[in-house]
Amino acid sequence: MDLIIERLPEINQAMLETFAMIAVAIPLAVLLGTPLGIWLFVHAPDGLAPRPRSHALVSGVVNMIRSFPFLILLIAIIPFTRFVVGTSVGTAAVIVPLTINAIPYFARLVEQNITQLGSGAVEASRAMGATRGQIIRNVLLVDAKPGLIGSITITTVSFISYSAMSGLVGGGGIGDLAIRYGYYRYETPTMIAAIVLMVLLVTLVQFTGTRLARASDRRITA
Amino acid sequence: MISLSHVSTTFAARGREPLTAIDDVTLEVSRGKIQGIIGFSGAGKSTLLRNINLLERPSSGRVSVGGTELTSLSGADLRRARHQIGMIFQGFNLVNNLSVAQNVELSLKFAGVRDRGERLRRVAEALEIVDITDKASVYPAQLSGGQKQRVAIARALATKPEVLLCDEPTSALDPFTTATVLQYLADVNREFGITVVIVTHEMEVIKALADDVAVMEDGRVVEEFPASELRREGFDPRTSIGKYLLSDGIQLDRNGPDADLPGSGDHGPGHHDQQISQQAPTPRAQPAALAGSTGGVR
Repeated sequence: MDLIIERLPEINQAMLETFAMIAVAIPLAVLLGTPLGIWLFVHAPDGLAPRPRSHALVSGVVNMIRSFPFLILLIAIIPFTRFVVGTSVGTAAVIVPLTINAIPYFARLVEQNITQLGSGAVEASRAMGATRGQIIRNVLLVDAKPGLIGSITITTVSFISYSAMSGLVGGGGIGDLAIRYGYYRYETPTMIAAIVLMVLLVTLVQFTGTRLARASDRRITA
Repeated sequence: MISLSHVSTTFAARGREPLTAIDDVTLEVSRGKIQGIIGFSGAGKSTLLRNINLLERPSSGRVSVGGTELTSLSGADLRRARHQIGMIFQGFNLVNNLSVAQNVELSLKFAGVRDRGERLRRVAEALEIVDITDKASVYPAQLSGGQKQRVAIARALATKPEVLLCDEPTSALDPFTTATVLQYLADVNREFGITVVIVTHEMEVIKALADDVAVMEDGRVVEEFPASELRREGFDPRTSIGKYLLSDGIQLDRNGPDADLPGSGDHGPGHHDQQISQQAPTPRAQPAALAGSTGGVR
């Protein structure tokens, strides 16, 4: 117990670092991954405006980034990271690969959410003379909203877990704390404290996400 | 009002024979009329209906609605023309995460009605027409099938179109609800002079609602007659579906499978299924009029 109290400043610091990583990476992934996911849906071979060739190319790039183990991506894009944030170590340097990995991750979830909506309302909108943009904004994103909130939740939880690998470039965070103090220094109580905090964090994110998704879903009788 | 001239639609799939869904159809629908189009599944009825608002662009031929040749339009011009053509569907096709009023408002948004007050006024008006004002703030999941279709009708009418296209609008509804929905269609046709084209496989719907009937088979319109003919003594439709319209509906053979299937004695049981697919729609359960007909249905 004394040990945990002694480590409180570090634990505090680590929580802040985790928050920083998630608070930057996830909104960026949503902001950039959503249009990418919509693009993949619209230009799919059987989509609203098929562009089979460029779709295959973009889809391939998305698959490539998605198949990199995060640890390797973290190292592989160090030059790019240095270019963007001016350094290859520290929390800011972890945010770059986290975001790069989260964008295609979230884009695939968006694509899946929209694809499974069914084409009825889209066809009705086309018959009403809607533009493609109007259909995306007023129909697809509206009906996909509960699914999209669920996808943001899943992405956040996954990337809280990924952020634990940030220690490799000195990025910090609560997962990194568990590894450094708990594993390397055999401070089991510190490790347990860190893990309990991560479980609480994930539980909170999941709980909030589920509540928000349900509140936005009118597709089932209340 | 609507004029289809030598319209053909083929679907080309890579590595497969192109499929001709619509084969040289010419059809005129006069202003204010209710045109029924009947045919079995796969006859091309829905594709022909989609040809009218170019949801499915014909491979050849011309389509005009209200004097505008739609087949010569694309992009914004085509979308503008579609604001004058309402459409309802078998599956209602509402946006499930929007309320009834928001669903109806959508067609006005798409039609470019900028002023929100104006939109809401016209939404209220449209909901009034199909008597569903009390459900304005309810979501589709809380409605019955008939109510959903009425919302879809309100959505289609909100932009005050000249034409209403109906794709199997009652096929998912029970007979009582069907009657209600058809009554609303008849009312809007009478009150607003909207030209209605209704595609269906239900002969009751044709008999109850249509002014003119077109019979489709294998992508072609094989027979046309005024619906009043159906009530005339001695009217003799050429096609088996036309005859079916005069019959009393489904007549079952309750005497067993081998009783009077034409040619069933010549084949072993293994040929039974094959025969079903080649011949009339349901060899055992068939309309009385079809039983004696020599011209196959396909």
